[in-house]
Amino acid sequence: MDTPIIQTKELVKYFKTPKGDLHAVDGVNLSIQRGQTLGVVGESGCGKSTLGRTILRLIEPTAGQVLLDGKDIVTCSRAEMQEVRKRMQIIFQDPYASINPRMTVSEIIAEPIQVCRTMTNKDEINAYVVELMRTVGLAERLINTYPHELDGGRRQRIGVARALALNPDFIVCDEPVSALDVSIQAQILNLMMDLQESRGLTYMFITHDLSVVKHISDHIMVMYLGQCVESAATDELFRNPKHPYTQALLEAIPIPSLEYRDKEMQVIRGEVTSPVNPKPGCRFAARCPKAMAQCRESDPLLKEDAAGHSVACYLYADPPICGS
Amino acid sequence: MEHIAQTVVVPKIKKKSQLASILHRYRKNRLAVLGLLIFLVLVFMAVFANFIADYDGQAITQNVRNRYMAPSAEHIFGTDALGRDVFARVVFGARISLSVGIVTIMFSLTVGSVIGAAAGYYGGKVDNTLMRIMDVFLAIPQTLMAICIVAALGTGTFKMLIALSIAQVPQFARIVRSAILSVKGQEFIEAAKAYGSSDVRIILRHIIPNAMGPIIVQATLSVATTILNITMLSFLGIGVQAPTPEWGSMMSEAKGQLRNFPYLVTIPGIFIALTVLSLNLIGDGLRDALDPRLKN
Amino acid sequence: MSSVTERLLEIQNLDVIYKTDEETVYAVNDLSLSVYKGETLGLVGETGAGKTTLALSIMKLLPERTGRILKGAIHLQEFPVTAMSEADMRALRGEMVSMIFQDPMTSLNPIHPIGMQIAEMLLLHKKQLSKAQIEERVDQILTLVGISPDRKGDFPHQFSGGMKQRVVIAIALACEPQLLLADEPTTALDVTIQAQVLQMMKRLKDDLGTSMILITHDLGVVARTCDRVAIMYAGEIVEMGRVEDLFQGDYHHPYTTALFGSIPNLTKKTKRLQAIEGLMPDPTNLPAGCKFHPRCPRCMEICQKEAPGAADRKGHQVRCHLYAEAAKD
Ligand SMILES: Nc1ncnc2c1ncn2[C@@H]1O[C@H](COP(=O)(O)OP(=O)(O)O)[C@@H](O)[C@H]1O
Ligand SMILES: Nc1ncnc2c1ncn2[C@@H]1O[C@H](COP(=O)(O)OP(=O)(O)O)[C@@H](O)[C@H]1O
Ligand code: SF4
Ligand SMILES: [Mg+2]
Ligand SMILES: [Mg+2]
Repeated sequence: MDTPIIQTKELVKYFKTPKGDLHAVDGVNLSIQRGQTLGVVGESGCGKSTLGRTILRLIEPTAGQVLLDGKDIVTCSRAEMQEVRKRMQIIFQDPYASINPRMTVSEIIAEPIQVCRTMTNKDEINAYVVELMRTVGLAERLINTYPHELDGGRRQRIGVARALALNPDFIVCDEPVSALDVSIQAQILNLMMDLQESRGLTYMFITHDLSVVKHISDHIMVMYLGQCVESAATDELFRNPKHPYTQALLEAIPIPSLEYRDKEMQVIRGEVTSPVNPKPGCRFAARCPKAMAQCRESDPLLKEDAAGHSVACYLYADPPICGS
Repeated sequence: MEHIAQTVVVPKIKKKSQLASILHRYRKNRLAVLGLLIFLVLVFMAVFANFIADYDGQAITQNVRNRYMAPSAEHIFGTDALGRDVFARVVFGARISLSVGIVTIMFSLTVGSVIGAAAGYYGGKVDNTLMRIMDVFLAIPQTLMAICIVAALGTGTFKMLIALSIAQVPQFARIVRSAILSVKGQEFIEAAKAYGSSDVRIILRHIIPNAMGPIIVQATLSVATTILNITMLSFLGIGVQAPTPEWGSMMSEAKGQLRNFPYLVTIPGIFIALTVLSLNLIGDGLRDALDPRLKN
Repeated sequence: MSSVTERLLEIQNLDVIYKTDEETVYAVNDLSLSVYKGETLGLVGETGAGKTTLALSIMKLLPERTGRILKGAIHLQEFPVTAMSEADMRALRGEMVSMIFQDPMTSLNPIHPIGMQIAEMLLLHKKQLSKAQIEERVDQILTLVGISPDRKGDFPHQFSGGMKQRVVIAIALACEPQLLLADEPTTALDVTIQAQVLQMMKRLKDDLGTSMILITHDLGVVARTCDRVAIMYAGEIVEMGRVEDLFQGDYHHPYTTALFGSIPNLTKKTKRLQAIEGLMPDPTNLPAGCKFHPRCPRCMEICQKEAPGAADRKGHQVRCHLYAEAAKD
């Protein structure tokens, strides 16, 4: 296999809080191949955004490595980072908070180019901005409007155009469609898939919406309280979810079809526990219907099977631990 | 892709410069325009004072025979206890009051902003250290602090200016810091970091423009406080030295005669009020004009 | 639902506007619907479709200065809501009809314990109850929504999102209203918590026999919990019928079809989603004719001029010119 474009090794981010260390990201290993999409799913507060931002070094990791084409960027100097930044961008969830309300559409899209000086000629920049606007489906006449004059879908397109401005290879998409209505959501998802195809982009697509993640991802990673609990190719994960949390998650999605109407929902009880100084053991044990004694004693390790399907759960320990 | 790039035409829609659209929005606000007009008149008065009145002859020279003359054609604002022309004193007083007021704010705003911006943006230890120092300053009443600084530096208009500026720094640091904190966490700041903007650029281009509203309003209000502070220092004899005309000291010199010759107090008072009012209107107008969301 | 069941809510030709100095928003336009005893009606639509406005009109809680019911009538059993005074309406709220607001996290008072907030609702409406009886009822209600009565002295911030939502539901159900208006009650929750809350609401509804209007934009939630569905677009109901009618067959409004096409399907692999082109119409300046026509892939000439009426096939109504023939039958 080729070197993955993005890889993390035991990536850790703890936030200091008055009550202790908050384990936002706790030893995540992932790798994404060029041109592919890794979907990251999990409940709010499980550390998806922190993971994405740590990979981009918008947040400094507490420990671990982030490799871009095999080279660790955590140790990069400021100047080296400047080059790295051109290759990795981010699209945000909130189409209102993610663009500067005091700048016009063209200023917003041109900013990255001016900052990185990839172009200096004014007319050239202007032409490039127009081209980008066309690419993301924004009418040219909007070039001098301010964001507040536009709706959420169009604002999100501005965010996409800004992320594309430096012609990056890798984009972290942090819930880019969660704040949008379904019909607009579909427009943006289509746009993102088209862009991936035409530009060979690699995505890390963060969301809590499983139907979206299934639609767009090649590979899925399920997170629970800062850890990766399961990771597999999309079809494999949906066909054969192994971790009890993944199973619960799939069970809980309301499917817009009557087939599942009368099926009794297997609702898991309890709520996400605190990520501050978590006790050793599987983080899901408190809610897990299949929890065993050893689940509460030590962390289950992520184990990969021959088909590349990894899961961190004692039910799949090898050899299976039965009672002993 | 290349094909598209070649055929792209730069849009014909003419881009309105930022400044032009700010001016456009400002002009729509009638009160703000009025404020600006009043202020310009006051500034004009201060700059061309020499052509309007005679400094030595009218504003300084005492003329005991002309004491307490009511306003008339010759002395439109009357004369004061020492027979000096009040109009001339008001005109020349504008120089001191306006320049000290404005220069003080410029200075304290700049220093306060740098401190507040650093504290708000970097947070943590930087924030703690800077803001604790500011707290110490804040704990001392502004005027008291100005008095202490003047006492330490010695009297004189320039030294007074320094004293007043230092006294205002902590409050600007506070306001700038909190304005920055309210903007700092937003995602567009993170986006700017993601494409490698420097800290200075982020602060100047993204944070300050979005945090400017409260800062501008406070700055214009502070000009008023400063003018009143000058009065106070003058009153204590450590501000503007007599017989230099200055609005605040004119008022305090005349306050014993408030009942008999009220115009001696009210006229400089009106000028102080006009300055403060015009600056407030300008401040409000600017805040709104700088915000594209309030286009209409 | 058979037609013999009793009608609880009836809305006829309702028009609601928001009038401000600068503009008039046409939020609800000529809307008619009924809710029968014991059923759950799903009200589906995108942001700005007028769902919340409709619920607020039923509660008579439209913003006083701007919101106005222009025309039409709302009846809650025998009570003519539109014609009632504020004082009479206050008695009806809570007892007859209750609402769970879109943002449940802020509809709890942060400085009172949750038990007290439930008791307050009871005190307001059930004046005959003694103190002990109220306490007992609070315990009962909390147990019902799956919160231990021991926690009634706790404050809202001590609960997680899903639990707060359950407290809000407990307050709404305290006086056993006949009709519950739930405005996107699970939109802010995670899926696993959403599943818990939905399951609980379903159970409560069955136990108490409450009728419900469930406002949502999630067709999956509708499929799981609703008996009938109304699809709203630009202040109108464009399609209404039993869930079976909506999720099956091909007698559908083009907007409904488009809505289904634009959600990623979990069970089938599709390459592209069928996005609906264009945007929601400007509610201050709605298009003439069918309000969906600028975005409709099947738009005809007549659609641009004439507003279609509701064509009814055995209680399944579609407001579209494509089915004009059926309307005449
Ligand atoms: N800057 C921060 N300081 C302290 N805690 C934080 C910070 N950012 C996020 N957290 C905490 O880290 C955890 C993970 O947050 P986040 O990555 O935003 O989750 P998600 O995106 O999955 O919802 C949460 O418990 C959150 O409260
Ligand atoms: N208080 C208000 N003043 C003016 N317009 C309003 C007000 N509340 C809602 N609207 C407008 O009315 C329309 C319907 O809003 P709403 O009922 O909240 O829709 P939904 O709940 O379906 O998202 C929208 O266009 C909205 O902008
Ligand atoms: S009436 Fe016409 S425009 Fe409207 S939905 Fe039907 S076909 Fe489309
Ligand atoms: Mg997040
Ligand atoms: Mg609503």
